[in-house]
Amino acid sequence: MLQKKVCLLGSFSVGKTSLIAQFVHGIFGEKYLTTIGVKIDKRRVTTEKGETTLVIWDLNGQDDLQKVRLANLRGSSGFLFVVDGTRPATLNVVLELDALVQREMGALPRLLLLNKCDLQDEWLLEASRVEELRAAGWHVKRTSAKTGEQVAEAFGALAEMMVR
Amino acid sequence: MRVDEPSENQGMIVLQQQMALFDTWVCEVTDQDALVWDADVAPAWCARHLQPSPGTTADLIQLLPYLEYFLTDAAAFWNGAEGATCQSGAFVATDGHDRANEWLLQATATRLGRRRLLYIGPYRAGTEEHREVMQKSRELMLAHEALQQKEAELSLSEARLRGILKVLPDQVFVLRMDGEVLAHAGGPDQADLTGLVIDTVVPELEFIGDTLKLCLAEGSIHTLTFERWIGSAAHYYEARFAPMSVDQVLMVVRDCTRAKTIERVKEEFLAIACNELRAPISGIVGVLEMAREEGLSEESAHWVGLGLESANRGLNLIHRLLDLKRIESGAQKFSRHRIAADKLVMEGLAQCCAVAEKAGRVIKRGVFESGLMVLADPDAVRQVLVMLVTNALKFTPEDEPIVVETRRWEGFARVSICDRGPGVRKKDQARLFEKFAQLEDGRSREEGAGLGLSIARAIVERHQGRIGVEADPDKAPGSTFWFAFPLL
Ligand SMILES: Nc1nc2c(ncn2[C@@H]2O[C@H](COP(=O)(O)OP(=O)(O)OP(=O)(O)O)[C@@H](O)[C@H]2O)c(=O)[nH]1
Ligand SMILES: [Mg+2]
Repeated sequence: MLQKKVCLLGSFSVGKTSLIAQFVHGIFGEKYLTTIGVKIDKRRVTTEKGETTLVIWDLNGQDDLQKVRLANLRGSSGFLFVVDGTRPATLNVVLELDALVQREMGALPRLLLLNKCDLQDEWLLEASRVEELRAAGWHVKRTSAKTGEQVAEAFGALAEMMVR
Repeated sequence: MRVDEPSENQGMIVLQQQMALFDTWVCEVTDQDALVWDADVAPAWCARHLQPSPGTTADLIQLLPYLEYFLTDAAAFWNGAEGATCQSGAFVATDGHDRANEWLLQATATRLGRRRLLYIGPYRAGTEEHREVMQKSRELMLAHEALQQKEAELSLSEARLRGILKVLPDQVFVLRMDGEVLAHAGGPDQADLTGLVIDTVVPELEFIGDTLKLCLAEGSIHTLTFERWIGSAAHYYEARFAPMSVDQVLMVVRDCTRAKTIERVKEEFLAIACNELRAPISGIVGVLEMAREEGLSEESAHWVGLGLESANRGLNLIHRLLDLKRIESGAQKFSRHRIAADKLVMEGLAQCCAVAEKAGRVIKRGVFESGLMVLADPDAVRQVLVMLVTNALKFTPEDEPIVVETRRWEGFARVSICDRGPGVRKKDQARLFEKFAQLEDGRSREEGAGLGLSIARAIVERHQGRIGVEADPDKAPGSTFWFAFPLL
């Protein structure tokens, strides 16, 4: 069967681990347990081209680009860049990570997830900023690892882009 | 492919390494087979008693998916020098999906002849302690981010506040309990007043010590007014006090001279207009009365009657306005008698009851506490009572009674008149006693009733008394109008 490696990248505490836990196991926890190193999960999805297994790599949040282990990214077919909508600074981290990935690995399918969209009151990403990103070619989804909103859709959309 | 038997010597090396990395698995891998030994039984393996659990490399990768990438990553190394080692990144292995049951592992590979030995053990930096430090540092970073955000918001809201203070005509002070100015903004002079005591800045506020204490103790807003002579003109100011913290009070001083002047001009105009109107309307009343005496036709008599009624109403209104003016300005003198409140009210009620009974209405007497002595003008008190009772009757359905009571109430003798009318709405209650108050529900000054309440208030206030209304039409129908005179 087709296997595709996907890496989640983004600043710490944006919800990478939570998004995977929601997508793979359908669970969510309020407690923050930072990830150290790498954790790998798998889930089968059905795409236009048939069944595919997503091998999902949960990397620890890295703000310091020097520390991103490029070896961990090797073999990836796609990326989910995760931003915490209540912390606008996490978008800058993602943009820098994206530049690094493009430089090292070329253009690969990627999606931008604006996570924690259930926290409407604390949401600080301006709509105009999001429009700019879309205009710059990003596929953007507003997700919530807590409620599950758009989570499966995001992984599904990336899977379609990867098998195309 | 078969895995070579390890020689005695090589076994010793493995053992030594295992001792160093306690809790380590050792695996022998080729590209297809994987033999896994448990660390705990490694010494036995050394003594050739171990039955290693055989499997495929794929099984191992199934267990620890990260290894697939390590094994391919390390491919270059497999072809490298004999005995050299290569380390993987840290990876997490989980026991089910419980995040609390994660182990952080790292793999080290050594080439020994045709065999590839893999040691999988706890990530050195990944001890519980390390994880805790990482967690704490992440949490600190989050807190720091939140703080920065708060600071940015604060400085924005501070800038906004400063802007607002700049455009306000008011002068704003933050005062300490002892009157020292801690901060200030606005006002004509831009001098720095911080550190000064307020009465050196505003001498008229010499005695605000008590107000500050009261404000802090009660947590309520207080207002003081004072005037200042600048040249030959009086300026009026209003100072409001609101508690800010345990020992700090916010004081806002507003120049009310213009408002006061307008109010005075309005009052004067009203007084002059009333005086000027009284003569011609009295004239009309006199002439119409004369005309009525003259044997008129039935139709003419009807019209003259209507005219007379209107003119009298106008005259009545003017008299009330002049009364009010006299009371408010202090020109009206009140007598001062020591008198029992219950007795006074009983007498006043006798007068009302006669009128009410004629109209088939009922006035009930509630509690009448005796021995409540007040200092008052009996005629004026009766006027207030009659006014409020008449008003209550007007708004109560015909078959409902009204209830009058006299009780002691916090150092006052309080008279209350309780009706079953529609009830005065909360937002109208404060305005009800103002001159010509036009209420939103259209309950307005029919026949000068609004003026009646203003007169009642003026009389009560001249007696150092209080007046008010209690009602909550959303909960229950009816209003209770009350007035109270201080007890002797
Ligand atoms: N309300 C809300 N909270 C979320 C959401 N996603 C994650 N969180 C919370 O955010 C915190 C961080 O989530 P993680 O999934 O551990 O974040 P991470 O990106 O894996 O963080 P690192 O592993 O440190 O890089 C946790 O307390 C989660 O409960 C979301 O969509 N909504
Ligand atoms: Mg994580």
